[in-house]
Order: sequence, then structure tokens, then C-alpha cells
Amino acid sequence: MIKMVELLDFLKEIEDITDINGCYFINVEESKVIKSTITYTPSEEILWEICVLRDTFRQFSSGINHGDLMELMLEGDKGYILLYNIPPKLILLAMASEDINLSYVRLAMLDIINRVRKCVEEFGEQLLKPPEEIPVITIDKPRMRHLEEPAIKPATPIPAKVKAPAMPAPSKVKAPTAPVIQVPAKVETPIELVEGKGLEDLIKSISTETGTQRNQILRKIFDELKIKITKLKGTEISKLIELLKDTILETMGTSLALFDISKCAQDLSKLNKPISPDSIKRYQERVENWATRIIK
Amino acid sequence: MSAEILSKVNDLIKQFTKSQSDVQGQIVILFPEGVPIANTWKGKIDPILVGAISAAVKLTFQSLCKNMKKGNLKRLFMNNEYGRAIIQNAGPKAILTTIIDQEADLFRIAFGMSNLTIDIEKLLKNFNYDKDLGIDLDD
Repeated sequence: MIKMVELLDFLKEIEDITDINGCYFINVEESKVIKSTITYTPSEEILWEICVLRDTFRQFSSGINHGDLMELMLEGDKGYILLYNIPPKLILLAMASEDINLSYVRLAMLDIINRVRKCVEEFGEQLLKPPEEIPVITIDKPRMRHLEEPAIKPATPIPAKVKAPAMPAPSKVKAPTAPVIQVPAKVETPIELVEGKGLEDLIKSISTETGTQRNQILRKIFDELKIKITKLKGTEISKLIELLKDTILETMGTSLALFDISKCAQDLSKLNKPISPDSIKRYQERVENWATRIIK
Repeated sequence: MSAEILSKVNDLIKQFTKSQSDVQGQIVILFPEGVPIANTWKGKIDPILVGAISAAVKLTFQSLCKNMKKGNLKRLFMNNEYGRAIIQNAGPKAILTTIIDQEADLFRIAFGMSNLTIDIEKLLKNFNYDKDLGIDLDD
């Protein structure tokens, strides 16, 4: 019979019996830290990418006939970061200093991870609820001895995309004042955004532009895509997204966002009807996410 | 010139794969293009996936290490149900992925890989990517 153990207790156990200092449970679906032993949390952007990467590496693992992904270990100049895959939707991230006894840690983790997996399997949702507020858990001072203080930058707020100034609607309603100065409407738009051109043409034009111009086109494309998501069939959006992925890949090289774009295109290619209203917001957020990653 | 460099990179990893019985295959992936340029792995892998792996190592995990004060990312060990893989930077332009057996001696191979990546980096120093040179992993 498996006893329900709080996720935080597992983390405390890890810190008690190993030299690991600082570990988190991340909910992959929400891209959020749900339990943590330290106050420092990676940025939202990194959390999101870690969660996408879990899928990337799982696919890679099964692609090379190695079954499911169990563990990723990052070796840095000054220490290690261990990531454990706990299906269906958890990642355990643990940090260790460079002088850690790696064999011992991995042995100890083997047992703990096993128990976490069983517990999650048994109690699932009960354990996985994200906290209402950001977890602020104090840890005993002695355990802090290896912890280099992470530079806690004020969480870089995801810039609220100022939508209005980017594409001011051409003000057709002109004030009826007398000497109308013929200011061409284009002056207001930072880039000539190809009136009448379809989204496909806009996507193709990425390859002919560079720098700021290209970024403006990309911004426009992503905004348009968010609108199209509410109108077109999944298969149609899939084609657009596929084209976007190929063009970006050819023009700007690879990035992690491309993998997510590719996955999204695959999912939508099976949907021969408009996206359901309750999924629209999720897809739009996903598109916005690509935008923040691709537009530099 | 580029084709000649690629052939040398291919020879290098072929030699390495051959010399280590527990190595199943190796793939050299160009960054930021995300394309495989040398390969001894006999199997199918989605090229987009390979690109994502290179981006993960060069961008996401590198910045995770920096943010967590763990310095520069040296390499990434991947443990799976039935095997392992080591992914390592091979200079600024490439990453080297080594796919190995479950029971393989991880540290021996990682040690050998370090030398190999130095050689690959030297070879790729003057390499210019030409689309025609990419390798199709679907073969």
C-alpha cells in the first residue's frame, strides 16, 4: 500500500540525504513550479522551454529506440543540474555543486524518484495542484552552504505586447477640417504591411527582409495568425504554420520554438474543422509564445 | 573545400564509433542551421527534432546553467529506459551527439568525446554551410 507523501517532503528528503541544494517540482502542463525548497525560481521563459524540451527529448529518446526519457543531467563548469521526467506531467529539477559525489546522488535519487513516480501514479491530481501563491519555502541555513546566491533579477515581465501602436488602423474617418494635408496613411505604419497580400505572401516575405523590417513582419504574421486561429480550419492553419516554420528555418536557422511550431502544425493537420472555442485561447497563447522567442 | 572538411569530420566520428564497442552511433549537428552534417547512427530521426536538440543545448540549457550559476554548459547526459546519450558542444558551430548502450561506461566515453569535439571544432573553423551538404537522417 502506497502512502500519500507530500511532494515537498520528497524534496526535503533529497536535500537531507544528498548534497543537493535546491530542487523543484515543475508542472509541465502549466509550466509552473509547484513545489520548491528555495525561493529562487527560473524565469517563466526558461520554465516553458524546459517543459517543451521534455517532449523534445522524449521524442528523441524514442526515435533512437531507447524507450522513454528518464533523466537529463547538465554538466556545467560550476556544477550540475539534474532533470527527472516523472510522467505524466512532472519534472523534478535538482541543483548540485561541482564537488558533489555524483554516483551517490544518482543512487539515492533512483530510490526517491521511484517512490515519487509511484506516489504520483497513485494520487495524481491531489499532489499536482499548483500553489495559490508563489512558493516561498525557507530552508535550514546549514543546507545553504553550497548555494551560490542566484542573481535574483526582478522577474522580467513579459512585455505586454502593445498591440495598438504596432498596426494603427488606417484612419479612414478624417476630421472634416478644411485644408486636409495629404498625409499618406502609410506613414503611420512602421512597415508597409502589404495591403491585400495574404498571410502566405507575408510569410514568404520574411526571407527577403532583414533586421527590424523582418521583425516587424514577423510580429504582423503572429498577430494575423492569432486572428486566423479563430476563423480557419485546423488543416488550413496547419499549412500556414508549416510554411512559417520552413521559412524561419531557412532564413533564421533553428530554434526551440520551431520544434513547438512543427508539433502544433502536426496536431492541427488532423483537425478538419475550426478550432473549438475553448482551445482558441490556448493556441493564441502558444502563438504569442513563439513570437517572444523568435522575434529578437 | 566544405565537402572535404565534412568528409574528415565523418572519418573522425566513424573512427570513434568503431573504436568504442558500446557506442551505437554519433551525429554532428550544425548550429544554428540545426542540420546533421556527419552521422554514424543507422536509423531514422526527425530532422526538426535534431535541430531542436541543438537549439536546446546551445540556447535553453546553456542559459539555464548560467541562470542557476552553474557556469557554461559542458555537456548533457541523457538517461533513457534502454540506453543513454551524451550531447556535447563541439565549438560554437556544432554539437556532437553520441548514442550509447545502457550499460556503457559513461565517463570513459565522455572523456573520449572531449578530445573528439576539439578535433571537430578545429575542422569546422573554416567551414561554410551549404544546403546541399546536409545529411538526410531518413536514410
